[in-house]
Amino acid sequence: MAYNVLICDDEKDIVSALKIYLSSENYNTFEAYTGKEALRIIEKHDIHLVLLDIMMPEMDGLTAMVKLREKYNIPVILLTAKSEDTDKILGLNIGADDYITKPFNPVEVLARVKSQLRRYMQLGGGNVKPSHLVIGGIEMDDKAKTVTVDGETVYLTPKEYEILKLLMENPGQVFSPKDIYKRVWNENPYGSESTVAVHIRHLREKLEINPAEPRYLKVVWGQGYKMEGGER
Amino acid sequence: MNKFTHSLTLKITSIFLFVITVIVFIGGIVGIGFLYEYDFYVTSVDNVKVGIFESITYRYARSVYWFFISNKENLYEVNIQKDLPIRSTNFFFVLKNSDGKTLLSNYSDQEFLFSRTYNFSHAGFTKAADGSDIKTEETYVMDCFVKKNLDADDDYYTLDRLTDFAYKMRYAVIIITILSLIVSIILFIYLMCSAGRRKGEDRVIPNGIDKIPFDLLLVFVFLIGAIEVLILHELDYINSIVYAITFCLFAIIDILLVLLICMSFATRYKIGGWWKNTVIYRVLSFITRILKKLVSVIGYFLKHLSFVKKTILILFCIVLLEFMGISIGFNDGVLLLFFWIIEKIILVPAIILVSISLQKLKKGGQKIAVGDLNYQIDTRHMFWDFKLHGENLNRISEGMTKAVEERLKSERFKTELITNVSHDIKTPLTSIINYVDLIKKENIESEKLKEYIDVLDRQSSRLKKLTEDLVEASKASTGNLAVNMVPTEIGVLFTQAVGEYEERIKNSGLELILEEPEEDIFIMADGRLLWRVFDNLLSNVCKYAQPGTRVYLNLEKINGQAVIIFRNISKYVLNITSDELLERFVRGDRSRHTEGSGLGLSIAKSLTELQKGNLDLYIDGDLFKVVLKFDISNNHYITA
Repeated sequence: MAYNVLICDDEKDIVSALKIYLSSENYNTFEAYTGKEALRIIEKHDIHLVLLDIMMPEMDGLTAMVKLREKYNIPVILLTAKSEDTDKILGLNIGADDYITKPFNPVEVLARVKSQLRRYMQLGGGNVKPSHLVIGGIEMDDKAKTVTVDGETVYLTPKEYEILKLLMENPGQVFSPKDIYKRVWNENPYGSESTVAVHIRHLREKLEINPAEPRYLKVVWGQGYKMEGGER
Repeated sequence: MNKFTHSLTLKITSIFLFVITVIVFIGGIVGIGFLYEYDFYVTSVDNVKVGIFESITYRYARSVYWFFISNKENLYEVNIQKDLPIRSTNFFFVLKNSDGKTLLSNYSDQEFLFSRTYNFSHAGFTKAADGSDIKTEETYVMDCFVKKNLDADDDYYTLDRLTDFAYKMRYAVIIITILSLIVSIILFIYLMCSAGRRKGEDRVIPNGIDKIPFDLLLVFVFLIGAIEVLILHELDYINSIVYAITFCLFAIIDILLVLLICMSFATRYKIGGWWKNTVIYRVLSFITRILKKLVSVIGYFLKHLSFVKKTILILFCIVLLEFMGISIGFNDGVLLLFFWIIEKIILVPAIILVSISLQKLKKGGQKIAVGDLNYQIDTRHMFWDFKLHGENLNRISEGMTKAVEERLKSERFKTELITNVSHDIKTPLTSIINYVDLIKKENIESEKLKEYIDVLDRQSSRLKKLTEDLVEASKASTGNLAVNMVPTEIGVLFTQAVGEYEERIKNSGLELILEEPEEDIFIMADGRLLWRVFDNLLSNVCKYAQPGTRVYLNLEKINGQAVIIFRNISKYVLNITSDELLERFVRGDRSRHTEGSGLGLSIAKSLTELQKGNLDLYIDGDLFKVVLKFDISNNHYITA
């Protein structure tokens, strides 16, 4: 089944570029250049995901999203040139599912679209087995020793798996590299904590779409690492 | 009110009434004085009359006596009724010589009201036998009588009537006097109020008299008074009636003149500056103008003299005065002492003033040097060059404050501009990056085209990084970032940094060596911002360190401060100072062609300073060293 993606940006060139990328991945695309147009198209068609620019004429993206959320539960990814943290937080708080800052990498956009759609269409509300650990789109089956991200299996080394398990069992808790070493390797690090840091980086590269801006496996600089529930 | 004060007829009437009331008042005062003199207020009318009659009788007696003396030789020719100087028939007399012989008389026996006896003596000369003059003295006695029934119309009769009238009126006079005084005062006040007012005019308008200098007017009035006194003095000998009439006339004139002066004064006072229209004022102001000009000329001369010349001139004057003083008081110790004291009294305050001024200037200069630009030197009590100097210093601080404010404003403006512009750049940049990527995916045969596309790809990525760095740099340098300071362990950060950079450092052919103390060192910092500092510095290391060398990352505890040192050997010759390296967009000339925006170090420094730390660069040949300093925190736990 081909998903319907609505691209909404006042820059025609950006819309057409995104259209080319999404079409190549077999998505049906709809185009809108203002917030009002976007709302009209969502009313008429069965849209599965919206890529929404914030700064637009007539009706800006944030207003459009508030209106959209009154009726629909579809994933919305915000696109914007504003890179301030406060802007991101505001966008996520009023109902965005993800956030991409301009200038963006088309591959990253595709990955995020894919991830959001998988979660929305396939995993949404699926019942979780007791041996399963779930944080956001990451699902860990401790019996089968498998990990999936948005439904796609990722392959981890045993140590990476152990570290991820420790962090997923205690979501939100910050573990210092020393703690992780002691718990995973079962011995004192004596200066080899950096091994943990390297493993974490590898884990991030496998789990995250953009490892520099992780959604789940977060670095608390000067303190340690933690697992968080998907909202960036 | 204006209706009254502005009416001309009312004014003229009041002037007229005023003259009358003043005359009545003066008359009343004279009358009261007269009545008081004659005891009108203390005795009965008969006693008053006795006194009056006595004076008349004495006058009459005297005139009869003088008549007798002058007609002594031919008495037999005298007709008592016709020739006597008095026409009285109420007065009777018997003039006798010392022997009691009646010489002259008009006596007739009847009832008398009053009688007196007067003695007269007459000195005369008779020719002696030898021809010499012999002084003789003759004495006469005169018995005088006044008829009880005053039927003749003479002074007795008149004054009797007058006295009766005056006695009756003696209290009424006082009342009339007081009333006239009150009325005249009221009229006077009214006239003062209406002086200078005219019908249909709101302003006070001076008349011709008001334009005459006031003191000249006064002199004129006094001259008239003097002339009047002279005329009266002359008239004294002519005729009493003319005298009285003239006197009254003069009195009226004087009253009018005094009133005129008062009204003129009132007008001038209302206009304001009444003293200005006087000869004295004009003369004085002329003199002061000349003096002022003189002073200003001297002041100008002094002002345009240089400070040194001025000092020399003053010293010369002092020496000259001292010399003059010594010359005058050469032999007089007391005088010399007096001069000495005077000199010190003048000089000591002046020198103290100079010293205070210098002290103030010194303090102001120090404050400005330290950077307290709001400090203002109090130049109120300074003079000459001190004042000028103080004002100049004040102006310097004003100018600098202004410059600093301007700079802050332009910095803010710059940040805003950079943020807005980079937002606008990002949108087209997105298109460029995306379409370059799309072109890359097309099947391109030409090797050249592939090369060109690679350039486009590289440069657009660089532009992306540049815009991001630009915004961050401007925000960091203006402190436009939220800083969340929490206890941060540097050891952990080191570990994390190694984790993040392990691969990149290895790819750059470098070896990273960590050196840190056993104990955990905590500082207060915002982990995210501190990581960006590390990130920038480590990515610089990867870009610019000579492959095959070691990179040292040290943590030391020096003087209660956590000191983090990055050391590496530069790939390129560092022919640039550390300060220049820190400036935005400046890099070593040799590294111009490589990737990066050149903002990394500047951002790192700004971010470090935002976290109350310090970033210093040291270049020693090819050794490139970055030193971060933070205060060590004793707090190891995050408190929300």
